[in-house]
Amino acid sequence: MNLSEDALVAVCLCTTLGRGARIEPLNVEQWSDLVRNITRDKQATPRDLLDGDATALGLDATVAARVVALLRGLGSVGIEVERLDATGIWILTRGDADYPVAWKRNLGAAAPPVLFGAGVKAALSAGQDAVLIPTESLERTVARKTVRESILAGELTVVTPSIPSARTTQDESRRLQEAL
Amino acid sequence: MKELAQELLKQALGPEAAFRDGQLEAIESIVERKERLLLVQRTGWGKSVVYFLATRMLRDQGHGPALLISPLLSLMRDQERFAERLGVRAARFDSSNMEEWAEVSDQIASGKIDLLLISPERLANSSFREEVQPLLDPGIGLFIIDEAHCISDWGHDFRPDYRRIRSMLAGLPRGVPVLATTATANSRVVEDIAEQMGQSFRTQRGELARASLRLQAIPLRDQAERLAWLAREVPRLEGSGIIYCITKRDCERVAGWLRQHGVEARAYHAGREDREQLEDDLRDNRVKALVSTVALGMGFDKPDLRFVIHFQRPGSPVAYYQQVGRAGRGVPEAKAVLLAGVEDEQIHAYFIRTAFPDRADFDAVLGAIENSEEGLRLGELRSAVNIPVMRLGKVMKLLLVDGAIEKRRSVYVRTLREWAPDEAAWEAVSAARVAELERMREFLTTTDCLMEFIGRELDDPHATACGVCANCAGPFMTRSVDEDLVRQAADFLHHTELPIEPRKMWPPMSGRAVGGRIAEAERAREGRAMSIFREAGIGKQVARSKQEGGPFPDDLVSAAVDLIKRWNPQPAPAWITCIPSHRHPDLVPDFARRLAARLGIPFVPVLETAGKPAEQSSMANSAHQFRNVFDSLQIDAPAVLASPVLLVDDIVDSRWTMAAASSLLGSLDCPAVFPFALAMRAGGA
Repeated sequence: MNLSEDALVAVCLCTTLGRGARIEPLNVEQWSDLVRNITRDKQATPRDLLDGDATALGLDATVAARVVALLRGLGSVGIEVERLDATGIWILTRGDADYPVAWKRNLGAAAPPVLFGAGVKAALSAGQDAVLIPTESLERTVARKTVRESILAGELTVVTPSIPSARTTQDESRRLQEAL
Repeated sequence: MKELAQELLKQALGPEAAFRDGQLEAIESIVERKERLLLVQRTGWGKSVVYFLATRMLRDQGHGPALLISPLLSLMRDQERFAERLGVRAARFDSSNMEEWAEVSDQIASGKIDLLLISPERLANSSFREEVQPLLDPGIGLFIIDEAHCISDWGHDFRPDYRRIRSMLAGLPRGVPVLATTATANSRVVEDIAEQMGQSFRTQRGELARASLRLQAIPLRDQAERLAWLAREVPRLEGSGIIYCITKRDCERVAGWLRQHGVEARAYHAGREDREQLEDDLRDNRVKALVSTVALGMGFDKPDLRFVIHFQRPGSPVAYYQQVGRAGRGVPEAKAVLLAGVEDEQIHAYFIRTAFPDRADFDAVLGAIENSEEGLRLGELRSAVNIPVMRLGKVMKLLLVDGAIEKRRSVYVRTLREWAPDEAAWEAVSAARVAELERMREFLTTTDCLMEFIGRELDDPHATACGVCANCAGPFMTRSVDEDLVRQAADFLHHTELPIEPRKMWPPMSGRAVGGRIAEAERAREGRAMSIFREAGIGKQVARSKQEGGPFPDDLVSAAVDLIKRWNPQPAPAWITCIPSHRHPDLVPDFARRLAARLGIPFVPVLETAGKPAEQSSMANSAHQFRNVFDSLQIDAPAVLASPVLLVDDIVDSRWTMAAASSLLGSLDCPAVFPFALAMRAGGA
């Protein structure tokens, strides 16, 4: 997958993909704050966090330390991203053109920073008929014969804010479905 | 930095220790310039000195622990011991020490581990990665890939799991040095390594020749001549060594023959559970020779190994170099003798032909998984497709690495990845293998320096005449054989009898006591096969009779009587029965009847076939073979005698027929069933 460094940093800071939950990832508000801080004041983007001093980018010391700790998992995130790509699962971040337009518009700063999914991405911004936000894990959902066949036929797109091995709550799934 | 490195080396290895050509240069490249380096150096050159010292120095600079990916457990055991001598605290994660993982994790977290050894197979496991990766949160200080040629399917030891290293490297933060090492890579493999790793590497190449090693090639007519040569020459060789064979069966056979002639030789192959013990026995010179497949290869370190003999020709110059490279690391002279004969080529041709599974096998596996609702377990998959277990394993491995299927707990699921085999690439690899085989044929007859010949094959820019091989300095081992020993060897080969190990488990999904153990009372005892089908002596006779439609000649009956007397199964069989056949209804009963008459016990044909089953040998795996047998086998219960029985068949292959028949007999109070076959199919049982 040709994931940009900005996107890779988002995945690394906002999810537990590939490294377990030993260090709590940033939640939506924290991520949105961080992005606002570094882009507004320093005209930087998330990938600039890789070049070292996070405090220089306007983050306070506690957040900066957490960011540094989380970014150490970048290698394992990279491996998982490759693995997902090999199995046909894609990743979208809020900066991607394919990120669902309705979520950006309706949810604003509360829109999930990272999405995992399978199927035609364009369907995400073309109304909700062909989009499924599963409560079961993405990996289990796409392994089901009927779902797989619909995805491969271009009739269904599955998307979730949770990492592919994790479930999404019914409330969260409903909230996102309604906002689509 | 140089002084520091030198000081550390002396600390670890004594005041006399000095760097070999290129070692210091490699250490500088890693520690100072943090480069990505591919090191091509002969085995025994001291690659491990480079990575252990580099690890030590990087740790002292405050960098994180080093991660070493290495393919063999035996290799890792040697490396750990060596690492500790250099003050590098090493720990390993592999399937043999799972109970220690938690402790190792704690030690890493508290900075007590400098080097973590991991087998490539572990990388395939995502939950393993999730456990290990956080441990490396402080950051990896050095990434080491040992035996890096395993990443290339042009190499002679391709391991699909090595492909995962590519994504690990892609995720490494900038500025982390990477060291990839190999002793056996020609230019094409070197290019492929760099390409597969998706990185730009600086390559450091050393001279591959080993001055202490004397090479000679001795073509002999057949196996009997080579056995005769071994029996006379091995005891005359100084020290201990390795005799390489291609197949496990040849290892057992050659070791058995040598022991008969007073040579302390042991077979070593993947099927032996006492491999660690055998390695120690060789290391400590408690045996004269291990007769081994390639299983004893990379990383086995015995500096005073004095000889390597090839009973059969290896498939390529690279493999040959790798294997002779075991010898002469720490002694002034070691001998490497290549014996070769007619059957080597057939075996290699077979390996090349079967290296990649058929397209149809992939389609069958993918189809079966696709058509399941939520994936298949391995047992379910085996019973859904008719593919031999080993080949199925290869198919699954390639599909897993390519991401076409995934394993979730124990269920294989189809992913969304469209998949088609890269047949053009496979054909290119097969063609390269054929060419390598041809080069080994040339090696046997060349008058050039043998070491230089191999060096050129490995694209060694430093290759020159060695001055000590049989072509440079004249033969150092005789080409002659003792005719009397040749006759004994021919006789030995003629009487290769083999045990028939009883099946202990029912196959999974066979519809019978699903996957469970076979009850003791219904289990066959250990049996005997008189020969290997189509091979030397009896095996050839059996094949000829089968082809002509029988009957089996009387000398086969006599040979069977002799064998049974030698074998002396207890409790002694009191009657004989046989496996029925649709294709040749009289062949086996006729033989069994004559055998019974000679042994003076009754022949009672109690087994029958119902319906017309497919030939058992056309059934590829257990579940299919088993269902085929059980659907067709019937027993005439009232005729069964309640005493030990000899169960005769002409050819034993999967052993399911024997298992099924034994179970029927055992369930009818037959106290012991001893299978007996005229021949065992090569690769079977």
